[in-house]
Amino acid sequence: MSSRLSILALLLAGCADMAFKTDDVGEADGAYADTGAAGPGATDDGDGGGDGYGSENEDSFFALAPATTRAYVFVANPDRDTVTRVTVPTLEVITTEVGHHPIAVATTSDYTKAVTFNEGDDTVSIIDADTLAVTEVAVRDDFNSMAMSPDGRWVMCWYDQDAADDGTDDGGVQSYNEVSFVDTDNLEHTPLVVGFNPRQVQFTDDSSTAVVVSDAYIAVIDLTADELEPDRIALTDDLVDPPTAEEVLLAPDGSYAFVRQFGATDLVVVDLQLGEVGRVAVGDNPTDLDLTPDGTRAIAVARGSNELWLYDLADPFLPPEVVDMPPDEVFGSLLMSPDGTRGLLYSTATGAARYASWELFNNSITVRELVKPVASMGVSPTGETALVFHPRTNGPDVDSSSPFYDQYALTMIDMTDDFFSNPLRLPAEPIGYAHSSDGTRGYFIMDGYPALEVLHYTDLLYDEIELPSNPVHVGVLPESRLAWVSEEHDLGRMSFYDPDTGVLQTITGFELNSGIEH
Amino acid sequence: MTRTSTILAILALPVGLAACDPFAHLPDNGWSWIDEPLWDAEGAIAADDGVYLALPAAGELARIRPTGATDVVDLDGASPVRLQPMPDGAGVVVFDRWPVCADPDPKIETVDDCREEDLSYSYELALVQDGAVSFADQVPSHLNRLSFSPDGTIAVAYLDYASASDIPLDGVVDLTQVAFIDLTGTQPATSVSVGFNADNVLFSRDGTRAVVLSDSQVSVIDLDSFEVTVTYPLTLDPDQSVDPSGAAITPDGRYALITIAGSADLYKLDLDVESIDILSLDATPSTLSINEDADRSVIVYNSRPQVDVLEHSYFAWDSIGLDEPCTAVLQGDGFALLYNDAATTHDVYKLPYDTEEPVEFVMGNPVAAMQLTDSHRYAVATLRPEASGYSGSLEDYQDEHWGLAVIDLVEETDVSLVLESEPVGVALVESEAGAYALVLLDGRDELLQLDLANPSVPTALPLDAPPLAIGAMPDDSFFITHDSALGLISFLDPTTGTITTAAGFGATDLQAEAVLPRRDQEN
Repeated sequence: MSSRLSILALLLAGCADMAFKTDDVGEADGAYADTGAAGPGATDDGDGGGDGYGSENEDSFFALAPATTRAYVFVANPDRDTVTRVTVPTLEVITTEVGHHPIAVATTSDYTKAVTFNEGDDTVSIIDADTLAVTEVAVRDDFNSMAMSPDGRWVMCWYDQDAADDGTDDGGVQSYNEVSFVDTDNLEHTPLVVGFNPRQVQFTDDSSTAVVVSDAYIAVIDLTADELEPDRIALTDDLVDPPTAEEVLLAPDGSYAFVRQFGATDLVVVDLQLGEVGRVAVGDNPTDLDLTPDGTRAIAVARGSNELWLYDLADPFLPPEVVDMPPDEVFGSLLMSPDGTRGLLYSTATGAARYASWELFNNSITVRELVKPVASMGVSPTGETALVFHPRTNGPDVDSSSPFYDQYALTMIDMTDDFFSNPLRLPAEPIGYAHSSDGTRGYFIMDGYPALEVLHYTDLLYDEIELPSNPVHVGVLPESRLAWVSEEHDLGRMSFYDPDTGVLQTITGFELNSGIEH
Repeated sequence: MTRTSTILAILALPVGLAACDPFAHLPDNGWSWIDEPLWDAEGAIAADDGVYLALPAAGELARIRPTGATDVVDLDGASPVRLQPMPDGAGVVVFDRWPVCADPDPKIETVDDCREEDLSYSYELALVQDGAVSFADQVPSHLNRLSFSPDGTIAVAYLDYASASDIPLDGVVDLTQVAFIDLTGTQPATSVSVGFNADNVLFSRDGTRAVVLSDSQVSVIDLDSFEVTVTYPLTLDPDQSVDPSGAAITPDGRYALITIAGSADLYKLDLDVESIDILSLDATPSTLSINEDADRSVIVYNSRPQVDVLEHSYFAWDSIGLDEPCTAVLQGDGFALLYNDAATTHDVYKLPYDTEEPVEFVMGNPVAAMQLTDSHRYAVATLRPEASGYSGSLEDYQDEHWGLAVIDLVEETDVSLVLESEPVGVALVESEAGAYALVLLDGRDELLQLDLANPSVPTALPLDAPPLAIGAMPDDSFFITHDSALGLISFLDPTTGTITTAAGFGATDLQAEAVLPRRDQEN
């Protein structure tokens, strides 16, 4: 297995900053990317519900897996059945054995535990972050995904049909309706049947409730109950050919769940307290669904009718506020600023080299030019800087004389200075991104390019830090500006960059630690 | 002494032969051919009480004292195979062996009495001090080198295959083992399996553990129990061989730094936290050397004109460019001396640790060897001839001859001298009176003494015979071996310039009968 894959399920913390994050280890959200679940059912195929464009793509790479604990970085080594803990900043390395073929690792928000999902023997390993004592709990067979509750007490494992085919099927009896909940405090396993093809799970902020979304059902699990039981709620009356849930958004207090279905003209609103399903109009072809950062409203982008539909989460069935988007533009995605005062509208499906800023106080929308179409977009934690990653494809708006023609690119936008921007031509495709929590630095890496790019959000400049080998993942330690990069190396390699000193420290060969014998 | 057959007319031997009938075992016509040298001049080892050397023809170990007296060390019938000095000149380590006849017939008394198919050898390791065996224990016969713990109480025997002429093969030989020997005699020698081709042994500063390097792994052994406590893999691929080429332990004793043959990887083993980190150097290193006081490692490359100075806190390093690559390092007081003893380059660099700005010296010819005086004030290099331009210039003249260079590392000056012939020995001596190089030249029956402050005018001391080598005694005197079939060693007191000699010891016990020793113990 290549070292890229061997570090595939790399180190993640349940970062406390991330409200409504799925903590989906396989493809975690960043708080300041599109909030609300990335839609695992989203595809670029099809006609997107009739407006001629495919689905909007919420690129999982951009919604970067959060970093680790304040003191440790945990790296899963699937080929060695081990987890390596790197202590920061001393870079001391200790490796401990876990179950067979760990493909995901997450850390609890209190930083006291790391949890791996061991695909090879269908177990979860709970690791004490300080002592590295390991306890294993068996789960149901043949799962391939794991998510952790915000408080770190619960993990849910399931089989995600959209995940890469990794040979999890052992050829025996297989159910596609099951999930496993593991209580990492009491080391108890609870299997549940939630509905065909569970796609994702969301937890309330207080981790009291989990909501599992499958094709035709929402299963609500009260995590405070003595015994876990799923309260299954059918999303549709059509049980023969139910529409696929493309995106689910959970109210922070766990009162409602919004389900956006592919190609639908309404939203499914589930009252999680009463278990009742209702529907609200949402314009034509809703392609994105987000929460305002204060958690009081849900916003749907109706790309087909060129409208924004705003719902009051206290009572979603009240008439929504509808905001018209510019008639000559087609936007299908929304990114809210952290303070909730503005949103960025864009589309990853139309190929247009434009975006728009939406000021919520007066609903004014200003269209702005970009050098290329949008592959994905994000905003710094302070909301002062937006990042736009551009694909190599050009779209109809890019002239062949442009220096960005047929090139990957990135644009930094200063949202405090009339959206002044600095576009950068890139030598390769970006594959990972992270930013410091203070909003001053962003970091990204590119495919096959041995460098860490450091973005200075305050002045829109950048630095390039040479790496000893090609990068695989990038992240930032919680509550710090220290960036980490995992790199290709047969025996494991990771670099740590301190932007204050400009020093890059690298450790190599930590997978050898799994072979140390006593 | 060269290994040429030595032909002696037995009837012409001097009076010092053994008192027994010298004719009892002579073949017809009274002549006998001795193929082995009478004494091993190359293997002479200096100790506090004299020079120890093997008498191969007689199968004995002799001690030659500066007074000229010769003693034979009683090895209880064993013959020395190899000698190695003990730390601080306390004595010598003798790898010896004795013949064993499997046939218990009491009529079999000598080696000649035993049929060849019944004859084998047993091996042991003995410590010899003050002319006598102070310790002996059996170790596997193929182990041919010792490393000593810092306090000298424990020795580790291992196989240095590069210096092994052959490996005694008696039944089964385990090439993964080393032997730990408690020189205090508290516990018996213990063989430990540490991996294939274990050829480098380091000791922690506190003397509590040994670090043994072998192919693709490093083993840490507790020196109280002689048990392997930790094994570090250098690779996880069983099909890959990672061959350590050099190693050192940092002054704090925490890290072992290991260079790998043919690789730019520098392994850093944390001996406390038990973890491995690999540092990527710019090329395959030629030498890694640690300066204890500066707490720095110096790394040079034969393929790059560059030296890396590595600190031991974060293991970051400064790369410093040179004009020419270097392959070797000598550590001085606050500096490293870099030179190349493999290529035809001429540069020598003094690299101060405080400034890391190299000072370049250009030698007249390529460097063959380099030494530092005890004060580190002077460096003395032996220069070897190189291909000349054959234009008849003075430079060509210098190129065609051996040379000696003296570098004043304080004044940062150097002078390259031309030598009459190849130097067969260069020793340095330093006292309050000054610093000197003692030089022996091939075919010249003189010892040349060069004042390093003014090396151009040497003082010559006559010798009794052409010299072979010079070595230092623990008391700062020197011994000189000579090309003499029957044995000749000179002892030089550099403070007085006086020379005493010991001669003829090569004929000691020459005609002694080859009796099977330890017969009662074996049978």
